[in-house]
Amino acid sequence: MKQLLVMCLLVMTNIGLAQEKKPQVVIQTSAECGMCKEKIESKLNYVKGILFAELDVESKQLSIKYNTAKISIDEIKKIISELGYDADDVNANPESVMKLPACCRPGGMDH
Amino acid sequence: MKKYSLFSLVFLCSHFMSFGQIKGVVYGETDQQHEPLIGAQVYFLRAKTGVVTNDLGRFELEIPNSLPDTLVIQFIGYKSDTLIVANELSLNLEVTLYSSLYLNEILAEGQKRPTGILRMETLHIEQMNEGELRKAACCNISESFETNASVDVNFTDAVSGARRIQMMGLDGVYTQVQLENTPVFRGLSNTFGLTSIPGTWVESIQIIKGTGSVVNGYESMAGLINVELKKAETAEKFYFNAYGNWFGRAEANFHGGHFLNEKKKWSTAWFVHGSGMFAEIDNNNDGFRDIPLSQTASVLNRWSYNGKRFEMKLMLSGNYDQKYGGQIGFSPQPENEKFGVDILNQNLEVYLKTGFFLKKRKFGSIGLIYNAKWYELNTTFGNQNYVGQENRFYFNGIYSDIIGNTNHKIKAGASMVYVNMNEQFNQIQFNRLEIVPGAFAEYTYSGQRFTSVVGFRGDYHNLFGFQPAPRVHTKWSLTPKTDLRFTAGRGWRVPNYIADNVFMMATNRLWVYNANLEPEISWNIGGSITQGFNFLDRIAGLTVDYYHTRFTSQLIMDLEDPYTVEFYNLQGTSYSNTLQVELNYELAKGLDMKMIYKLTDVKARFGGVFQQRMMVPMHRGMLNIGYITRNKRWEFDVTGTVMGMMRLNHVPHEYHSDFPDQSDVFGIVNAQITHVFKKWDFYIGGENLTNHIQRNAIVGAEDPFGNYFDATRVYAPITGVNIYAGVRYKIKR
Repeated sequence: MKQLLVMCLLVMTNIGLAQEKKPQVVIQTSAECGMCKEKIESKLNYVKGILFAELDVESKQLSIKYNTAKISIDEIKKIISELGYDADDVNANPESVMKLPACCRPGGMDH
Repeated sequence: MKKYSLFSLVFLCSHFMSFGQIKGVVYGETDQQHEPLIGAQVYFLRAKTGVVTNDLGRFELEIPNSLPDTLVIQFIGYKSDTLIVANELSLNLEVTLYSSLYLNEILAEGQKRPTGILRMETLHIEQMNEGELRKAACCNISESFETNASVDVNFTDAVSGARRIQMMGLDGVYTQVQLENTPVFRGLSNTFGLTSIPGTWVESIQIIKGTGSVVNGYESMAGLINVELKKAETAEKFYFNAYGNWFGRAEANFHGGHFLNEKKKWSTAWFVHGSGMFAEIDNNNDGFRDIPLSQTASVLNRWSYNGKRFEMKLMLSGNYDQKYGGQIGFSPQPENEKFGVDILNQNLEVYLKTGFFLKKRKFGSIGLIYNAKWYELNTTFGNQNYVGQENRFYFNGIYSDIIGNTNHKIKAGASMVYVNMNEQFNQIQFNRLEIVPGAFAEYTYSGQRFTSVVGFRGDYHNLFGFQPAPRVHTKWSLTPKTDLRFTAGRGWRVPNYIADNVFMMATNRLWVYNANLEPEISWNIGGSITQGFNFLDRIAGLTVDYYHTRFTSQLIMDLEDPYTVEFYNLQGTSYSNTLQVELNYELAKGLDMKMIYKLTDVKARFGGVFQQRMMVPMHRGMLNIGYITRNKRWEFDVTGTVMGMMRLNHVPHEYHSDFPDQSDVFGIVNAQITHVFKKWDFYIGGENLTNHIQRNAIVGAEDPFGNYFDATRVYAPITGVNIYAGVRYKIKR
């Protein structure tokens, strides 16, 4: 029984350690619609080092879990920018923005 | 907002101005186009104030005094949308409603469930899209209903490998099966038709309970299944699928589509399928192949033109299917002495659809559908031979328009069916020429809470005279999450002794024809309630439906006497009552559960006693659990089915101890895992994981040419655990 407890503890600390290397963060994006959701998720979920990427369209917040050993948060933000969306402080790449469908463009509705 | 968009798909683009007013524009998006919706309803749910969009799809509406209120945007045939307005700040909205049948992959991804009742439709339509079809990766349409309880699929016998569907506990012949709104899989093709279309070609399947719309024909008596294939405009650029299972079945499917010019007016797509069963297996040790050896090839080519005022869709298809079943070691050589089953299916088909949009009437259009089919079926079961040939021509012309505004829609038109069927069963000839001209009209009213479709069609059959088919469907949206539906209607069809029952050749019973062939006529009445709700902050949905089908005329096939297959016209009552309760619930993020119970009570006078139809379980339950990881790269799916007791064919006395008159209660478990990569999907799955095998499936297996041989008592799997694996590769356009 004691051994089992020790093992459990060991496993738990392992998970704890793993989580430190694999933080879950929230990035504020400029994604406007369901189409943007698909675009961002289908790109990021196949990037090495990203465990999952999930966009909540209403809040425009992107939840990302990633492995710090394989990818940095700046690199992730750069990918989002290249897709044509703002990521927190990183602005969207203007060229990519122009390629987006009208409704997906940030601020594209304010005319 | 999240709460209210449970059944709707939306993207809203908004910004603020400074008047107490909401204005905006409503777009509708279908497979082909994105354009302003004229006559869409925009209203506040509590204040009950509302407007209709103008010619440009625009609307303006005062924000009511008491807030918050829910703004509802809806249009028939589209998924409605809602928005909570909490303050008096003016809004400028750009709303896109999606066509109910719009199945772009983008949406399938965002959609909560890959299957569900289409909320905006007046009819009770259950839709299965690609996500659901993937859950049963093998192989063709007949298998895709494995995760669906509304349609049952059973093997017809233990030797031919054929499957047939059942709706409402009634044989598949009472369900109208359509390929893109053209009735197909009837007459000769109803036994093997569904197995001729690979699942990977399919975009979506709609299941309608009760009589369908009058527009597409008179034969939907218990229900209607419509299959939509991938379109020339939207099919993947390239798609490849390979599948194999440990019994020795292998399958390959390709398709690909592209636009032919810059303007994207012309497009084309190719579909190719090849499959085969290459090994003899006998898991239940009865000396017979559990699955026949087979070779199948199908090709389909489609073309599409989308102009401003003219649309055209052309589809050409061909199918070749050869099966060799029977005793282990059977070969189709003349010197062979073993019992064999030799089935050859061949068919060629052409579909042409043209659509014209009228210049003067903005909502007026004319659709013309032509379908020509050649089908030949050659079957040998032991010493019994059957050859059937069917030539079929079908035309349907539909005019659609509105009366005044889009709240009142009308469809009217005329159809023509020509079927020339020649059958020879052993020494008996059955030849029949059917010419059925018909006319129909259907009116649709769509109010804010209440919609109704009232239709009537009349057909004149060259042999049986005039047959009417009145039908009505209504829907009340009691609350934004509650829909109440009601349907009633008449359907009819002309039965066939052999073509409807080819699988009965798997018994050596004597066929007794005691009937004057007459049209089968039924009335179906029923209703359903769908309720969406939140339970413990998670989305749930409950659907309860009940349908009653009553035959006034029917060709009864009676197997109560163990030595005969007897046909006679219905005397007295014949009905089917079905009650289905379905609960969907999201147990945790990404983990969805579907729980279904179905009660089927199908009775008529068989063998002089009013009793339940054979092979129809009174009770059936199903549980499906699906989990998709947060990065959507792993999909897990488990389906369990429990089948209640069924009545089975009676057997001669000497077999009684091994072949009881009733089946036992049993369960089946299927599971599948899919791993998704950017272009590749890999899947592995198992069927019948609890290894439930029906041991005594064939009566008189020791003497297959004898009088007592009967292989039609199959109610459970005759093969054990099946493990399969497959791969999909796709390049998007």
